[in-house]
Amino acid sequence: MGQEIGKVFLTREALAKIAGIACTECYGVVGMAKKTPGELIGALLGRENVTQGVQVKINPDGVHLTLFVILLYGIRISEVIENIREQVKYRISSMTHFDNFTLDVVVCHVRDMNSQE
Amino acid sequence: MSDQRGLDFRDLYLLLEAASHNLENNVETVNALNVFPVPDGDTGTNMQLTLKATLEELEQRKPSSMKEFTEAVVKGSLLGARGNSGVILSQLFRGLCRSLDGKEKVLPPDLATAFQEAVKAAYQAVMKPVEGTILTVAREASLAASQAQDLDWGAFFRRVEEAARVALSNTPNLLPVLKEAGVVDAGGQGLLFLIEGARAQITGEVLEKRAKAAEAQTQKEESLEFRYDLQFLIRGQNLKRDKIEEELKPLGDSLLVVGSEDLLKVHIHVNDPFKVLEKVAYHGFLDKLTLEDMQQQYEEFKRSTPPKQTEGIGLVAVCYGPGFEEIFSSLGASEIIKGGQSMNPSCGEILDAINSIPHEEVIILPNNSNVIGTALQAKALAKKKIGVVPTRNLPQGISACLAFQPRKPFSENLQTMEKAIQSVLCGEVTYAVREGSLNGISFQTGELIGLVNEELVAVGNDPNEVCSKLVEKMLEQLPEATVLTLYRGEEILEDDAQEVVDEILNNHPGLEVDLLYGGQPFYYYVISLE
Repeated sequence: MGQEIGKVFLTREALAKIAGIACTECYGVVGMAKKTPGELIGALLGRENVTQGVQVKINPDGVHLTLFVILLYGIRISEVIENIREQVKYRISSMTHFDNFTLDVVVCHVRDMNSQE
Repeated sequence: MSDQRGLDFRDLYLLLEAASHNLENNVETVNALNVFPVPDGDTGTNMQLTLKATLEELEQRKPSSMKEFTEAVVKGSLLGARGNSGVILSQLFRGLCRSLDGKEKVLPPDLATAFQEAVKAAYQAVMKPVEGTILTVAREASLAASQAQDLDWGAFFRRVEEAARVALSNTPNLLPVLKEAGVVDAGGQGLLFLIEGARAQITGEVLEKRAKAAEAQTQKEESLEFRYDLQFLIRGQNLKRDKIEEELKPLGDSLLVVGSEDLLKVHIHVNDPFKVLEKVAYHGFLDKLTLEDMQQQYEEFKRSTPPKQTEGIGLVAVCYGPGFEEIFSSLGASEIIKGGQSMNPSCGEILDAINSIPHEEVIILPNNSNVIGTALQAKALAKKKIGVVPTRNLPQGISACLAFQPRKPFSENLQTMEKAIQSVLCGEVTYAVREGSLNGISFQTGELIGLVNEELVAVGNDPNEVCSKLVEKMLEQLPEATVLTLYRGEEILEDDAQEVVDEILNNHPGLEVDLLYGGQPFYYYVISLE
């Protein structure tokens, strides 16, 4: 982000944190999972390490974010995902004025709160 | 406590309908409150559509027991959930219904418990609940319900409504963005309208439609100050124009009183037309009365014009044939350029189309391999931000169109559209303009030929015969395909095309086959397989 008086740098960690917090505030999200979609999460990530559920890739043409989420069973996933994308996008661009990024959401797991897993 | 009777599922059905109806009447009020996180103003609509889907499911199932009723509500609201508020609403219903499931009749304590279950279910679905939202309003309402469970139905619902109203007015104190915008939470407001509707049904009150947002400051342009446009004539003797004007002035705006002593024409914008008539009735006889709902007109106008937005991305499609033009328009193309095989549009025509639409970002669908180059030229010359999705034929163009989402970012759209066109196979039935041979198949001038992605695969004399051969070849190339769409050209009658469709269906019962009118010249059939 070029500014007249100098440059501002955003670390992956910072981006991941903003995205992670915004994501966990979304309705329907009951947790974030560790980055690899293949290996299924042992435990839900706590709020402090939500960044582990966000992958930030920096490509020449922009930044690519992937969120690994756990949703509640029995809600309309398509609408929840749409909302996550909107909220995260809004949060990042409103907080950092940086919007050259794309965003994928990976649903790693759905949890049924009523059947005790 | 005379009306301490148990409600059965029919009563609950009525309550739900009344609740939904009240929300529907106040959708605009809720929409106007939407400021969080992006001002897209659709919370009310989303909630209402979720309820509509729920009621439709009920109508279809015609439940005959509480169990069937709750199942229908859960399923309808789940599948019909729209937007964040819709999802939360469906989750509230889920908890509510789970609790009511086994019961035949419901008393206030049962409903109080069900409300608590609803809130519990709704809170379960979020890691870190944000307070000052619909969740807060629901929670406060359910607390009031459990405190009021010994009262009769009327008092019970009044308490619940009151608690929801208080909780709603407190939302700006919990959520700073609401305070900044000077509004209450939209989802919470929607929920209050639902509770209010149910309460009115219980107490037998008829709620009037609010013309304006009463609960908070809202964006003015969303609702009109005066709802009705009223016009009429007054006939009489010695009519006093000035006096009538004086009397009507405080009631509305755009007031016009013109005419003579024995005939006056009155025009006014008001919220309460009856008051106007009351005031003028003793001056003379009324005639030619017309009343128009401007709010309705405004909403209809808004609904009928959404594709012409300047925000978002414009879509320009090149195609030929009235059927295809209509298909592309209905799929969201802002501008159609007529052209295609043997009548390629010029770079200038494409530029004109780009400039004729208000959008600053435009995606072009060339829909013909010969037009892609011209489109890229236009992209280089245009002053707007242009993207070209290299669609080589009409079926690819339609797949790209289906993937198009005007409110999504430009680059994301290009990506998804390019991806969408890769899985489509295009077949065309046309005629040979000269004799020759290709791919080991020889053909005479005027003979019909079938092409798959521009490769010759079939020859024959009858369009239907070539078409069926072609479809077989296409299915060999793409055996996992599930949907085939046949676009008939201008020379093919619908009955003839239907014969081919029947034949295909006979041979491939698992395939879904659609027949559409493309109206394209030169090509008897255009086939899309994916």
